[in-house]
Amino acid sequence: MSYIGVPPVSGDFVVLDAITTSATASYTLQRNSGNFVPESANHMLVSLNGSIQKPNSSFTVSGSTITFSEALTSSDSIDFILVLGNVNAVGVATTVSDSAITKAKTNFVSSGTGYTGTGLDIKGNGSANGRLGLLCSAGSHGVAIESPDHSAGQSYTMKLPDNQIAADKFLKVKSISGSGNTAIGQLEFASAGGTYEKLLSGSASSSVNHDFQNFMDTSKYRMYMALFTDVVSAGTNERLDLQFIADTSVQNGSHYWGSVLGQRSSNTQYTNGYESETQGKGGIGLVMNSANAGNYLFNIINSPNQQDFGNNVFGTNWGYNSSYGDYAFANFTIGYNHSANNTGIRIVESGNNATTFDYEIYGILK
Amino acid sequence: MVDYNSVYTLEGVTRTKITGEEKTQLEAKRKAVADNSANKKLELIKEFRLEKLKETDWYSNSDVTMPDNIKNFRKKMRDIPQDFDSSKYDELLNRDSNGNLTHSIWSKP
Repeated sequence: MSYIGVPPVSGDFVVLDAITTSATASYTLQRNSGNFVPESANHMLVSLNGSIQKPNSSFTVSGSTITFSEALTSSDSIDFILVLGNVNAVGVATTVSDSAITKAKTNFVSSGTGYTGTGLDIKGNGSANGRLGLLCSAGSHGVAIESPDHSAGQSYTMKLPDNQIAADKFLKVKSISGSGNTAIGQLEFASAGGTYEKLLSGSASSSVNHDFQNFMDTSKYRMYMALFTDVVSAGTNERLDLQFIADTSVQNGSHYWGSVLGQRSSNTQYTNGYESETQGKGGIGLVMNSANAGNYLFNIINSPNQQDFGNNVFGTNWGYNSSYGDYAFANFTIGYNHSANNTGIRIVESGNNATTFDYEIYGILK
Repeated sequence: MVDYNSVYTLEGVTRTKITGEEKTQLEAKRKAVADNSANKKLELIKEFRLEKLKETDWYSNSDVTMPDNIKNFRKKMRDIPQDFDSSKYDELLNRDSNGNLTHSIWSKP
């Protein structure tokens, strides 16, 4: 006759080592020659002289010692002792004590790819989506990661970023394998998307030449916006000028053409045109001291495929000029009449004095 | 005077002292700027002079008789380069706290 009822598919079923009887009631239980402690007498099937013994009546157990209700003799035979273990401990979860299963007792192994091969599933209940909770140290607060709604029909996989984590970065889908709603996306920590991508920023220490190198990438960016604020100079009524840099080589040949057109607060125009100079002029001269710092915006186009004036700048500067006694602004253009694979810019004050400023350089994505 | 260059890349910032030949070239550039200082000041003076002359140009219209004081003022403007040497340029360019030129020659009658 087959087994009646739900089969106990889980548990620890152990036949203990054979025991040789003698003129005593108590014997040590052993498994593979090591002492063995059963859960209780009720977990044991003990056969003595061909008869099954009643637990806690014909025998009791304490620790690894079984004690029969009366002393045996050497002619008695303990046919077998079968310990059923704690068969419910794993097979029926409702009897598992809270927090009883520790991480060392788990082994969630994933296989294959995608969500069907996951080592652990957090299921929904038919109305609520599956959620994985992450609680605070006290367990009184928590956050959750939740599955998309069933109606979204999504079964994608997000692979965590494969690059180093860094401040000010965003999660971006770097690449996908597969397609549709089962695609697998590789994430990365990336700079913010959108039109403007911040490349360089900070506060410049006092220096004569400020070389911003190798930030130009014509495969990614259409143009660049360089903003210099709180500009303070050791000189007076000078301006910030610009030279291009190819790799690390400053382009200081007589290749810069340009024009400046500004307006002063005394309602007077300022103009300045030039050709074949060694650096591009960044507008009108400004006093640029701590009380009246200067400000500059350079919009830079780097088109290496063009020959003449392929690299050029349109910009604005504004601030106070003490020679004129005016607050002023000037728009300016700088054309670089030369062919070079420029990758950066040098910012230098027109009188070659040391300057400090805050800087931000953005690449404008194609 | 210690001068520095700074290099900014996507990897970080380095700042180094300017020494040797580069320092020599920098000093030469600064000297050239200083030597040209008087010329730059004179350019500014001429710029201001032109502005003042423009303000009184309308007296030259055929239907207007230019007063003598305006004639004298315009003559003084034109004579600035010969009447003032470079040692006087700073006086000519001096401004008060409101940004106004303080030298009496700029005072239009």
